[in-house]
Amino acid sequence: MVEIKVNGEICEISKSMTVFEFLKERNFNTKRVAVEKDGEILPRNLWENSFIKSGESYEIVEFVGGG
Amino acid sequence: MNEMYLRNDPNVTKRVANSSVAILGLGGLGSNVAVILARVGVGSLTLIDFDRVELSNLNRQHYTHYHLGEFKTVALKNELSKINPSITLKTHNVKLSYENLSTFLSSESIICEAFDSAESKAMVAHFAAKNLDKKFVFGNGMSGYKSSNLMQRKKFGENIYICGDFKSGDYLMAPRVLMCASLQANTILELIMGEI
Repeated sequence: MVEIKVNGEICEISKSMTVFEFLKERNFNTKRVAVEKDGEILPRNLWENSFIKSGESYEIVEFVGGG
Repeated sequence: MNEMYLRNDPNVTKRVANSSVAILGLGGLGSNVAVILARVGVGSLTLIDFDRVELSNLNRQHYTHYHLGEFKTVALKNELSKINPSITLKTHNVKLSYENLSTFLSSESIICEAFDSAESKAMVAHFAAKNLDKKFVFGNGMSGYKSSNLMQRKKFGENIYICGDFKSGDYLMAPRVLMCASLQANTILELIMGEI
């Protein structure tokens, strides 16, 4: 069991997965998302190779249109 | 002293005169952020957009019927020079992409993200992650006419500030769009003053 924080809430993941797989599983539109891991932005080219580990803290922003 | 800045904080007037801000997208957010920064006296603005002024822009963007059909870069440059003739205005009439962002932003240190599309906002966030020497101020969520108190600013990563209510919606109208633009502009001022 992997336990992480996502947008301030504790979140348990049953199997090892990458950030990209996590975003897909949670139905995020990956083209509109930015991910912060432990206070630093994770560039999108690293999502597919970054495995989520216990104790990490993520902030996920889904941008919305309008401006 | 320039009488235009009589009601400015003199420390702000001094500091902003030597500062520079790039604005990506000159729509509801970008055109209004630019007007505010020109009034404060920010010494140099880089204005980037590829679009032309349309009638449907006028409910929230700083353009008039006189500007219909003009490039936003040209129209806004004219408006800003009428408000404050002493500032330097650079324009790039270009559609920004993952490929060309670094070309146009290499010499910029404070960048205002003011795009309409969510994908473009995500593109700038990706660029920000790779350019930690630059600071970014985003607008995200300003639709409808819900309470002003829902507007907020969040720090994201090391170098991004995001202003807005983070909610999507179908309608964009002047009050909340300008509110978000003002939040962005004041955040940019705080960055210039070194207070955040």
